[in-house]
Amino acid sequence: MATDNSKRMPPGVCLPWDEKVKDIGEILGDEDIIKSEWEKLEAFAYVYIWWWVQR
Amino acid sequence: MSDKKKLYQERLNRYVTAMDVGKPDRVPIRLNLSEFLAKYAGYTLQEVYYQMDKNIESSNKFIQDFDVDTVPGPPSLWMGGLHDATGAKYLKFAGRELDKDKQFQFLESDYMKAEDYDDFIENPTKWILTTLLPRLHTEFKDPYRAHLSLIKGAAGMVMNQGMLGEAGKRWAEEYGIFPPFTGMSKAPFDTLGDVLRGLHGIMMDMHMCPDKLLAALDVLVDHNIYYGMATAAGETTLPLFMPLHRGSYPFLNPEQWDKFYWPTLKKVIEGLWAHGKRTLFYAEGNWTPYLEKIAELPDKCIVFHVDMTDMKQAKKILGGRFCISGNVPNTLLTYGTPEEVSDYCKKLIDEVACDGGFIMDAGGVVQWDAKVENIRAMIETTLEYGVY
Repeated sequence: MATDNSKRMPPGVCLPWDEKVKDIGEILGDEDIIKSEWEKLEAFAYVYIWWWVQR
Repeated sequence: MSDKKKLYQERLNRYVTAMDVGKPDRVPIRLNLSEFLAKYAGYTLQEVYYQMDKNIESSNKFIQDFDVDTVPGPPSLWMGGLHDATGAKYLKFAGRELDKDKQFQFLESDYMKAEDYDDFIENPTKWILTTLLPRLHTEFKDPYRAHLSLIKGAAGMVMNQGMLGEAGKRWAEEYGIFPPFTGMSKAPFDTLGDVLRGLHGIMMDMHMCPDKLLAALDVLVDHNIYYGMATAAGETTLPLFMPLHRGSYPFLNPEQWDKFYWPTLKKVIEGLWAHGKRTLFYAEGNWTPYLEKIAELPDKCIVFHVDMTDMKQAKKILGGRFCISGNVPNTLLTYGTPEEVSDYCKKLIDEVACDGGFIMDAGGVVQWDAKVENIRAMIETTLEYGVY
């Protein structure tokens, strides 16, 4: 069974920014600031979820 | 530089030199003491599993009294309250279902079913959150309690990590001691075989659905590298802790090991090494038949920890290219005498540590039942006899 990891959700991501940004709509300020903070909490959520199986 | 800072630096240099297969001033001492610390400090296991301040204080008592180079954090890996908040049903704790001085118990099961493979492979993070946790956590019985459990669980993790971070700073400043590792991860086969499919499940999968098992193992490689680096917060001086379970002989036969266990474990270790992160290859049980394969890894990328692996073979095959640690038997620490422990340590120093690249430690994690006088003998012998 071949797997193509390139198309899968990467590690550290639970809900990709590309999806989230569609919900936000037009961003009037600096998108990178908002994206960066989003991704920090994404990484935390990811570690919390995986903590339950990495033991 | 303060005395404690100097001590910290001396100990760290000694440890890193050994990990780089060099010869420091003496054999470094790393003791993976776990629940032993609670007993030594006079706490019940219920107290250290549930009260994080007492869990941390357990380490203070030991590192005040003994001159060791490094000791991993407090005795309890777990925070009982966090597990109650989520209703995690795979652990039993002292003071809850168990007597207050009973070691925690892991209830192994196939929490992941064979029919879950496709969804797991497609998006393991989503599958864990939406399928596994509701199965594993009794608090998911209704939406209100499920949401509460996620809030409490995440908050518990932050509280616990915050306390451990503060304790780590204090241990460095007040006692000149550093952690033996930062971050943890697993062999992909163990990620699946420990918590998810269980031993019975994954043994069946090797025969009933080998392609799906291999695909799932492949998907786990990048996750396990990421998880290791994330839990280490990117730190690379110290190794990552990797407790290795099902790869121990004879859980798998050599063909199964070659096909299912080793390829993805090797990728994880090499992936971590590409980030500059060394792995503490904590080989629980006997890994003697696999030493030649392990020797395929890049030089110095692991510290090979010996539990029941043949130490002479480990030294012959891995020595000079990889640091070796261990392997004072836990049975000796529990049932032996200080003289026997001392003799065993001297033999290790003479035969394994002689040309450097060695760290003294017990074979496995030291539990509640080890004798204090034997731990003292191990430390004092290494301090005196382990000088190069």
